[in-house]
Amino acid sequence: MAVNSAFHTNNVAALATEQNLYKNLVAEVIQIYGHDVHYLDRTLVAEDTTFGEDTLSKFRNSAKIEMYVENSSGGYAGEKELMTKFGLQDLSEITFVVAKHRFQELTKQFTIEDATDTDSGGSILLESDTIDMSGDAVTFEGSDFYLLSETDATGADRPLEGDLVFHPILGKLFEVNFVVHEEPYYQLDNNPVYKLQCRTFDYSSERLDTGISAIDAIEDALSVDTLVYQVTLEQSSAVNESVRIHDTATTRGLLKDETDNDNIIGEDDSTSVGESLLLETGEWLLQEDYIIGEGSRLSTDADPSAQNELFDRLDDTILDFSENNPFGDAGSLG
Amino acid sequence: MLGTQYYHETIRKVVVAFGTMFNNISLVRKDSDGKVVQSMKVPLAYGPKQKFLVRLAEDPDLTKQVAVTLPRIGFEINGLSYDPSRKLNRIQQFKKTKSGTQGKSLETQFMPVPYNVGFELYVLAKNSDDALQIVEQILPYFQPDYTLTINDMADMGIKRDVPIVLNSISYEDDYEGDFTARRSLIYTLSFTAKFYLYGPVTSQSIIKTVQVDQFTDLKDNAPKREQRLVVTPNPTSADADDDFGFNETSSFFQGVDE
Repeated sequence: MAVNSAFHTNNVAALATEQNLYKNLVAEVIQIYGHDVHYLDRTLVAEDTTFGEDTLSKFRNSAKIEMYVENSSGGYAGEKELMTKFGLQDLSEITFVVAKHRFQELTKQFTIEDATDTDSGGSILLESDTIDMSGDAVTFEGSDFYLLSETDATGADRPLEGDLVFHPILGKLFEVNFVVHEEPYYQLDNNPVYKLQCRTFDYSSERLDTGISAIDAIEDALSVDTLVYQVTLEQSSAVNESVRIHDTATTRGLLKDETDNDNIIGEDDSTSVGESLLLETGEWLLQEDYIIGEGSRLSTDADPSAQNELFDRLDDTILDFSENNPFGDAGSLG
Repeated sequence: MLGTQYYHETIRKVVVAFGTMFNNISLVRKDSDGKVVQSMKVPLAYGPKQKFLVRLAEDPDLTKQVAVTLPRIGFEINGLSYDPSRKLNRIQQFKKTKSGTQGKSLETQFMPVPYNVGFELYVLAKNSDDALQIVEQILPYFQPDYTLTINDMADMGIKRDVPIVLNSISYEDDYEGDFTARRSLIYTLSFTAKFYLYGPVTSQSIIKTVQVDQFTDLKDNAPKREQRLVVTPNPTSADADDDFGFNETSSFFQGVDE
């Protein structure tokens, strides 16, 4: 028995008009019941092809798009908050539904190419209220308009596993685990949505430079990267390779390392301008407030449950280094 | 019967010493040119804690934004056992004089009892390279033991070498399965710390006079040969931890008929 010719053409595909109606209805429902979230592209920096991972992934490009939280009546799925041997883990899971054509509009946005001498990135956002479509009797709701490429979207223009979704109302960062692209299953021979199966992000000091303060603050609060705690030189516009001590207007000396008289030199960038203090051993000078954890829930701790500095303090009366120990030399490295 | 209260915090000290060994492990991340662009110290924490404190520490204002921060190291005690191979003479004692409100006293303590405490150290990482960096900075120190000197009985001025023995290493990487399942990359290092547990310290006044009467119960009382030996410190005001000599006097009690 043949399919209904009122909805199908050539016995193969549904009418494009029906498909468009279906697609637009779904998109509108998501716009009604969903929330605006930030979708963050992952940028691979130094992919390790041996172990199949990228420890230095960055997240710099973000786009705001509406998504619907599926099955949200019972809250998050997954194991949620768990007490583990590593402290509190939030193993919440969530599924976002995003309209396919709305997402593909994002991928067609013109983006600013990453440059080597700048951290800027993102897409080209037109200033709000500058699009006058009144002559065509067309009005746009909202204030975010982008330049779009005319290139047709393809199947590759989809949400990618490993990208992030930040939900500003929930205040959580989710990683896309898997993108389901066949639900609902070809009801009109097309699939108008992607379902993003996500869970809360395992943060490993990745760079978050999206320009959105709520997201970038996550890196500030949770990163244990010493780079954040470097002592940097105030002046970066002039050649400043050595830190000089001025005695008088005419005499000056170099700041010397106390142990072996090595100079403390400024790290050169491409323009030979010192920006950070780098020891000859290749390590940075760090500020004193690089404290991983005192174990006392202090806001100064980089990790609220860590006890690194606590043990360092407690061992002062416990470990004994008064005699050389040929079978152990803990503490000799500082 | 056993109820003399004492607590030397020996196991607590061993836990702190064990934690200190791993509290300064760092790792670096390099870009494709081999340049170090990230350097970080690995957070370490003793795992078992009261749940409400963990909740208050890590999510006090209900704004936890991520699942967990990685990499990190956790450790915990997983057992205590008597070690008969290190058994000491049970009747020997440590002695130490101390000043107190009642003047100086002599404190004594029997020899400690050898025990082993097991530790499990867990390394949780998101990336294999991070985990390997951490593990490779730990393993070479253990052949298979690494010895710490611990002031385990500071009141008595005793310190002991405590070997920390690395028994085994296991590795878990749940990378297979459903895409939505979380990949957990955990190295588990199993250690044994060989330490000693001390009993109570008993205190007594310092003995400043020793008197010995000899030959008082001889069957044949004639002639009587009783002898009294008295030893006192010189000077008599000396304490046990002073530099002093001895006054020794001996007296003979001879028979009346002689």
